[in-house]
Amino acid sequence: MSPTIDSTIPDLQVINAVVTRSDLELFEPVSFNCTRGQVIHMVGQNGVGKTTLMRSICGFRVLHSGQILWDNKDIEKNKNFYLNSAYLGHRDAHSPLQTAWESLHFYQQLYTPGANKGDIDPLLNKLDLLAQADVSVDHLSFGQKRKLAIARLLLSERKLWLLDEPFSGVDRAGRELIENIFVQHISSMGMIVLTNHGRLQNSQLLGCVSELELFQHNIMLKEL
Amino acid sequence: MTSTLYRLFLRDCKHHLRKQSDILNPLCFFVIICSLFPLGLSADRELLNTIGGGVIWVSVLLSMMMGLNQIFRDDYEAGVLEQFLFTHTTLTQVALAKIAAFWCLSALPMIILAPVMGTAYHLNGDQILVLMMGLTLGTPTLALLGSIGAALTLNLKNGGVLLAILILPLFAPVLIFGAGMVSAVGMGLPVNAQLSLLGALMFGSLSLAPFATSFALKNSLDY
Repeated sequence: MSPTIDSTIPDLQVINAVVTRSDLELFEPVSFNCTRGQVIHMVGQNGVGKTTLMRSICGFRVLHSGQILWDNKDIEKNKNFYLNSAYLGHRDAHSPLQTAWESLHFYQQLYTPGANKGDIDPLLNKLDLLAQADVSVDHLSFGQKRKLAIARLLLSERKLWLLDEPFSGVDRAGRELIENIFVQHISSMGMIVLTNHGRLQNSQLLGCVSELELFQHNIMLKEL
Repeated sequence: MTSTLYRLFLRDCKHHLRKQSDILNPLCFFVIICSLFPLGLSADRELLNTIGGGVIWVSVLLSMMMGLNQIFRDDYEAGVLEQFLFTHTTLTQVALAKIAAFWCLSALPMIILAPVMGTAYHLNGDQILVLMMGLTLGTPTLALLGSIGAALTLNLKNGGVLLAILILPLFAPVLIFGAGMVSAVGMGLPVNAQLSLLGALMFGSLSLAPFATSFALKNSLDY
């Protein structure tokens, strides 16, 4: 796979990022670039700070030191970054009071106001959720909720996907399906930063993956 | 922008309607507190008329406190709140829509029930009218100020009590003008000043509170 370079899509750059949790520096400073057609796979033992780093990349928390740049500009208040990325965290981000279809329709209107709501059914079908379209999110299984969250990513049509444990709770068939969706995303110039325990299996996907290992560090910042 | 606000508002209203305990609990609470006072004090007409306005206002304050804790919590816990950062929608718009939906489905039913409660306290027609006007102008202020507290206590496990401690003192001016108005009109005094002040408080908090709330919401995502 050799995607042609499209210079209009900028890169995500993480430079010497250090995150802290209650004054504890979690891992050694981390730097990486994520460019189009690339998957960054963050690995590291439990508690090393993968989720914390991911939430910092989203701008939810402030880095202790280092920089996160999109299009060479800091992501803080950088609307351009937020409108080009989609995030899937531990929480699936679907309101339990809505049905699967309603939830996707809600996001569709947020992402692309005025989009055609006829696009939602094919999307649900793609993720084997069409039968659950009118089921309340509350009544979906854990894996189904996860797949619904993947449907939301597709709906967003964003270039950069930030995924925290996207496969958790998903069965083997679902996993293959999601990896195929990743391959499609990557081949259409997308980029993915993901954390995941266990290896990715799709060989096409593996060709684009760079592994990034976080090493436990745990240095106290303040000597009290 | 308007259509986004409207869509968010409709979504929140629908959520409240699906989770009926959100609407019914505070409303029942309101009716019960209002009914307990005459039972505990006396059925004396004069006395009830004197305390009526104050009791109804305090009941409204407390009932609104009950619902306030929930206004952002469902979306926060589902992870929907953080997704708004990735859209054109600002957290200020989100806050405004949620406050409006909260007001429509928790304060508005109480305003509609207020005349019934007022009758129980032997309030006369003018007093009931002024009570309703006061509540209409005052409750949006309560919802707006309360939303700041709700957002600030969002990532606490048991934020409910802290929210009450934080926010109830801020409700004092609204209570003073609102309840004062009912007794003033009972004595035949004009209430223009109180009405203007309640209006001023409402517009003041409308212009500031959504921004403070959105800032607190952004902060709550840092966990």
